[in-house]
Amino acid sequence: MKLKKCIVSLFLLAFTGSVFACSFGYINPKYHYLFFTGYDRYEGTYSTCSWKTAQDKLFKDENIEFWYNYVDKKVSKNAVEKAIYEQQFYAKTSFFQYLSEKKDSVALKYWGWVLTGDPKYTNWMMSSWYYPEEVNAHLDKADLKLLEQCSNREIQNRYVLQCMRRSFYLEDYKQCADIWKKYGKNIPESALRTQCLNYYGGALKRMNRDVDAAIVYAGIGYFDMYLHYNVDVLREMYRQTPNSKDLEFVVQQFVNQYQDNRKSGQSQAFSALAEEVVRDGKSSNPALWKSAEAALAYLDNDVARATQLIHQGDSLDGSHAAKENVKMLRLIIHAAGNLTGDAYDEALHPDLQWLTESINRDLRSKHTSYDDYESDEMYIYNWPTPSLHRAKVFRRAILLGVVPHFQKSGEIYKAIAYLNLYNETLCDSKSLRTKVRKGKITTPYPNHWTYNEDYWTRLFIFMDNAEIKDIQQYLNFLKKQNQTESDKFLLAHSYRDPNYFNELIATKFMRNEQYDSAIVYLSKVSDKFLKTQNIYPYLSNEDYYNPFREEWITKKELNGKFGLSFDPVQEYRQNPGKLNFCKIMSRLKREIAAEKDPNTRAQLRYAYIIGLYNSSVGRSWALTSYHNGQENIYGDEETDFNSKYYDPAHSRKLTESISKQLLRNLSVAEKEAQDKMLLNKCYCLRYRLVEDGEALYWDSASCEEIDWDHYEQWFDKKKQYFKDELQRVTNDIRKQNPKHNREELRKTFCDKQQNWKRDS
Amino acid sequence: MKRRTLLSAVFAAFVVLLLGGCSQFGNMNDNPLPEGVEERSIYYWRTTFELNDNELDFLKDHQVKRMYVRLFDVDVNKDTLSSESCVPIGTIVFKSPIPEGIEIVPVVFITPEAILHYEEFIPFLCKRIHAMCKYNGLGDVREVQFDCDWTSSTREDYFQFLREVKEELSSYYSNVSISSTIRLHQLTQDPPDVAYGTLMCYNTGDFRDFNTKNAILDVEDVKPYLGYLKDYPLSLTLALPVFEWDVEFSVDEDFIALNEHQFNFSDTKKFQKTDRENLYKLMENGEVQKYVRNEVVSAKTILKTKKMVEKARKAKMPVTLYHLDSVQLSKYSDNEIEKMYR
Repeated sequence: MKLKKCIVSLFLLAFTGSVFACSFGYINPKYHYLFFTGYDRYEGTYSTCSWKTAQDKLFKDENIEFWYNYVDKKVSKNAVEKAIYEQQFYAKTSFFQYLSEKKDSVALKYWGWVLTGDPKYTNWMMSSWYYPEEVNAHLDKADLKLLEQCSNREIQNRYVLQCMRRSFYLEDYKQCADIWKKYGKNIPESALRTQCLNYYGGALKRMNRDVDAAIVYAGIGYFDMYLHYNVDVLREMYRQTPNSKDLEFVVQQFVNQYQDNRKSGQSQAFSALAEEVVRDGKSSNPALWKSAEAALAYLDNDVARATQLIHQGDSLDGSHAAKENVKMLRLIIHAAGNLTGDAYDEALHPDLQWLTESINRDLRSKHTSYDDYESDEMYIYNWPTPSLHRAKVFRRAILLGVVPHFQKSGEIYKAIAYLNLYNETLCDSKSLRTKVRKGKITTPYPNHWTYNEDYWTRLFIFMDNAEIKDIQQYLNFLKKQNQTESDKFLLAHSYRDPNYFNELIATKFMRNEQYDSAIVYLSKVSDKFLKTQNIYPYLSNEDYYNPFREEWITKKELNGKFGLSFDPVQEYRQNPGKLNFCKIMSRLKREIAAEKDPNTRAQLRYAYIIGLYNSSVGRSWALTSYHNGQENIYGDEETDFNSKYYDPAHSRKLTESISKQLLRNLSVAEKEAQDKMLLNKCYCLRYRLVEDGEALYWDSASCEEIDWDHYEQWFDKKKQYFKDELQRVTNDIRKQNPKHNREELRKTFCDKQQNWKRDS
Repeated sequence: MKRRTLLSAVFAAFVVLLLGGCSQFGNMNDNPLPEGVEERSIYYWRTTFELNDNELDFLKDHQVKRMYVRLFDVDVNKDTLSSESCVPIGTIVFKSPIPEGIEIVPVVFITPEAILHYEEFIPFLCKRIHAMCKYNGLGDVREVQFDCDWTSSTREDYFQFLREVKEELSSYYSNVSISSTIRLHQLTQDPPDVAYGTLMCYNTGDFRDFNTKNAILDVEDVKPYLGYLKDYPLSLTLALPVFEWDVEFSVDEDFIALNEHQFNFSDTKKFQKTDRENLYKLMENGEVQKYVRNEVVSAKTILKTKKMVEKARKAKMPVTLYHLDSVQLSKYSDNEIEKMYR
């Protein structure tokens, strides 16, 4: 039944078999095309992946709308759809009942013909298995008579489509073409007309009339690989119609096709034709031809030639769209160029400024449904529009050209500057982000949690993975004297709140245990700003996320008790957050250095270790990381960035490496501790860590509760066994798999631990 | 008198033997081969049925009476918009009429993936075969052959398909026979329930493997299966390869493409020989661009294989050559072709 329904639906949609291709890839900038070919063609059509599907859907909607209006809206659209697309004719649906009651013989005759009129055109014929049985199978004269005699023009047009479709499937291409010429030409612009032309083009193609078919297909916005990706056909189209919009469409699609599917010799052949067109002077759009030539040179990695050609294109006449695209192509070509220093920025500047302003204008336009392009492309596979093309070119230029350029030159702060522009231009989710940034929305967890986008953008991920000096240089850039025009433009379109950058620099210092330096930068960050961060709920929770708590010790009298002259747990509670944490850690560091008594020093060191452990791999991870997951929302393939800068979990991994430092400290504390309880606490923490070349942490779920009422006996008994077992397991794992995976190692060790617990 | 009686007895025995074995082909299976199968035959495996004069002459000169014509392949449907699980692909287009006196046996190749869905397409498949034969004037169809590289995992589906397809085809053609190709590796398993099988003595190696000597036919690849032939419980005919292809590999010895033979290896500027007889380096500006392995089977190897197989089967087998292509057939002399058929 499903098959039947589908067949009928396809039947009504006038399915044309494998005439069309499918295209994908709106997100990855590597796949962004250099030309937008949909001006005045696709705007406002459907979200879909292929021309064919879009056209079918357009026709279906148009068809339903037509019949809905035809029955004076007396039957619901849903009922119309069910009747004509789900073969409910026999079920006497309200649609057909209405036609019967009205005694509408014209419509009833048409539907009778379409749905039941001729057993020849049944499911069998609509299936892929169909093969004509009669040698002279053709559309009956009676069918054409029905078409001719139909008194309703719009229903007559529908007869035309059905007759063309039938002829096409009967492989009577001549008849299919003749029906179009005789009856179809005057069908007004509509999805119905496009469907008819699709059959007409298909019939011409099968009659080996390639150029005619190419012109027809181009006229309905369909690029046919066989026909159009052929310079000879292009040349012939140019000879016949040098100034047609259809030819312009094909020229642009040719370049886009070359990007996906490079055929040797195509670029040179096209180039020769483009030069000829420009020389001829017959085309009113030579800028398009020249820029297409430049685009091919760029795709061939001949940036020098591409630069020369695009400059020539700029000086030629052309349509508005072509001249716009010259600027966009020039931006992409310059971004990939070899200029250095200020000359590079200055070359980009005019086109980048124009494009940025255009995009901002697009976003303000009432036609744009989304207020940022990132979510537009991430979540809405929108059919291309001119505005989306501008955004895509912008993305391609920055992510594939500018940022890699500065990475290569080592000017990371400049890469940050351009990513900031990128972020502010494409990711400016106005409604929410502005409020977050102005502190109008904060994050009073758990009642309300505002998602602050600033910590999940390409810019942030890049900065989070950059070195401290890079962010510091960028801060200096924000304050730069003697700014060039390009600098001024970049700064005018960037997010410049120093809180944002100072806080990040401080966090990077914290990851390096440079707490005094972190304090310097944190002192510059306002409380209001901190409340807008996604990590704020964690940091402000003075108890659960307190970095000096020993969450694995269930006995309250022991948890967080270090026997010091001050209580770090309470100290942190006074003013939870990064700044206070750094102050406590800094104090501990100072006192460890100054303390003479080994046991007290061990106590101080142990407290420091707990702070370090919790703030890195432990429960208070938010002190040094911005998210506790490894989800990668941007694929590595999306940019030409060094992958180091493109890992959202990179900073988290950095803090994990602190485990080594922890274990070194732990060894010193164990050596100096004279207090049995402290020593056992050290062992207990060591139990949670494994020194194995890389950090390994166990989450709380796998943490064993220790019998602290009898801890001394417990430890005495288990200490040696544990040490031996730990060593044995670690050696085993290393032996089995020298390049072990962290997760595997963790799992294996946990299994061993379970066995150990069970055995003991 | 005694002597005359003895001579008469010897003569009578000879006549009995002659009449009893009026077929030149022995048969290990009790079922006789369907009528016409013993005639000389050839496969036609191109997508356009268009015979040139040389091909017409070939049929005539070698008294070929049967042609196994591939009509289309059946594969799983890659079009996600369609609800059909399997579709016909590569349908042959008939541009020449069927030569007079030639019986056509329609052949359909079914991919192992498609055979798993056989229940969904059997009625369509049969209707299509019937429509194609009728539309293109292929004459009375007495037999349909199916070709599938089935293995133990798809065997039951394929065998059931053959049973059901015979029944379905009976509604179009009375007394239609079903035959199936048999690949060498399939000899190790039970045979399908068909009138007879055509043993494909080609495609014996993995053409994607750089180290394969000749993927079309390597006698060494046939030998392991000879032991199964004697008692294989299905009547068999023998298909022999008379074709040539070029297999391209990258400089890293990765498979690139398999094409009909197209290169001129005698162009020493372009092609350099290697230490392997049929392997060439394709040169450009003094650098190796790729490797090309030219594969063709000599008449000597084909005849050796035929002899080996028939010896193992302990019977002569009707031969079908694969396939009708005048360019490729021109590499063999009339005498060699005759020896293959005999």
